[in-house]
Amino acid sequence: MASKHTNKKRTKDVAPTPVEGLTATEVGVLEAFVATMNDKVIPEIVRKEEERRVLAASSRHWPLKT
Amino acid sequence: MYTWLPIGSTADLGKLAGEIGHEYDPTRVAQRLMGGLSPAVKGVLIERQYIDKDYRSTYYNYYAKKGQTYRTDCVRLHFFDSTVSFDATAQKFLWPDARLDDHYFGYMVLRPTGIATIGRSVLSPDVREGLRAGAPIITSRHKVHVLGYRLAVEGFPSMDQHIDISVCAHAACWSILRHYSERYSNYREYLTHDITMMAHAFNPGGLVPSRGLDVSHAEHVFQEAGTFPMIVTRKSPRDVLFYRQLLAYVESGFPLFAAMHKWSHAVAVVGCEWKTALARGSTKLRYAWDLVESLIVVDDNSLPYRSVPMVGTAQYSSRHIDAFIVALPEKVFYPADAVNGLTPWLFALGPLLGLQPERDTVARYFMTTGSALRRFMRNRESEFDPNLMREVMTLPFAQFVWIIELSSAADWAAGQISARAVLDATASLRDPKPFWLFHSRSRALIFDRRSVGVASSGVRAISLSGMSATALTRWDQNLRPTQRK
Repeated sequence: MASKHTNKKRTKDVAPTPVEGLTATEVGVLEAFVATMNDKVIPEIVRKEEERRVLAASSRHWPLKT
Repeated sequence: MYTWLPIGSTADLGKLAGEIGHEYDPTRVAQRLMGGLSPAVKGVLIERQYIDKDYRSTYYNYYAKKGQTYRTDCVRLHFFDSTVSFDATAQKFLWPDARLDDHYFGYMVLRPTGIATIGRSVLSPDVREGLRAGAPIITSRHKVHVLGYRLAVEGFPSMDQHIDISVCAHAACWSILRHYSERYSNYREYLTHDITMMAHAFNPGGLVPSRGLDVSHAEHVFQEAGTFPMIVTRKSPRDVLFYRQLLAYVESGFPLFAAMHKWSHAVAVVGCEWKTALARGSTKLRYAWDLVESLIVVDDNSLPYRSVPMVGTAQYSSRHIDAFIVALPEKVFYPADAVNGLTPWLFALGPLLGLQPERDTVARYFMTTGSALRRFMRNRESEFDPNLMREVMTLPFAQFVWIIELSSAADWAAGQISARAVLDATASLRDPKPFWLFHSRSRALIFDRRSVGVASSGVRAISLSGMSATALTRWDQNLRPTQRK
């Protein structure tokens, strides 16, 4: 699962910022997560939200009368 | 003015027809009650000449203008268990202990309209026949004054549509907004006539409301009531994201206005029933929605708390719900679909927290308040490392937070979890770290949200001790579990 959830391309050659309580390797995991959020997760979240708005518009005129 | 009707069996409810005038259509009311009330109801107090604010709002604005003469007063039925009796001479109740509330199952107002006579009602889910014990349902506490007693019942408001001046959508809006006004002090009470007027930008006059509403009218009602409605529409019958969102909002304590396009019908979704057993050995991440057996709805065509299975031979199933409106409070900017999108990626942080494999996990997410989170943990202090308690008590939460709970199949069966993430419900959709906190049994990541634009420097990790074998209780606080009577 690690390969699915990490973005090694973004974190390559970037020195991790120290984080209290985490080793340098663990900071790399955290920074890879943030990179994945920016590159994959957030664009998909934004796309889904746009899709929700379009679908909502399509249902606004459904009649409700029974 | 008051008559006590002892109920030996549910068939005795048919005696209502001999006690109540025909304008209240008691025969149909009795049939409805016989089909849905549990045998725990052993006494009904019939209260005549009851002045009901919701009926009066329609009387003043509609029935009083008609050529046919309608009564101004209603009948109210109160339901009790077997321990309560009525002294007709002294006009008082007799019961065995200090708490009459414990023996009271709620009330039902009957309108003098000839048709669709069941008006404002609050019945306890505990006496709804066919509802499974433990089924979590959104309720609030409703005060009731009768015979000088001040009673209370936990339930969700319901009423039949008037047919001539209101339809199913009005009834669903009314139920949800009455729940809000009883449950939350910042929402005012709206009467039936108010709801019919709020649906339109102008007074449509005449009988226009009876010709039906559409989804946008219901959205307008919720806007007018000061909430921030969001419409979520199903993409296809296999759109699991739609149902995951639906469950997330219901588990957050928000009753949903649910539309069924096929039937042109609307109901309020107020709870669910879980499957009794969880199959083990899943090969992928499962969501709480996968474990739902049925939804509980308040439908104006039946008694409240109707159990609607996912599929079935009844008039409709949960699969017929293809849009819903959630009436959100202000300051909820991060919607359920964003939480859903984020959830599988939490496992990327698995190496930091020692998370179990994704394939053995059930993910469940819902919204609550930061105060409720602190109260939940304070009431279970022994489950948490004191350092984690201190962090949660001092984090500067916004009012609303999303909770994501991760459970193994074994955890789920035992009502436990193995990790919990706390997200900021005011986060932007583009926030790469919308967290306040993410903890397992061994470690916690604390996210500093007091600075904007910091990268990983805004994060701290703390090791947790003493939590490896404690119970980490699953959060079931937003809804009330049904206690079958």
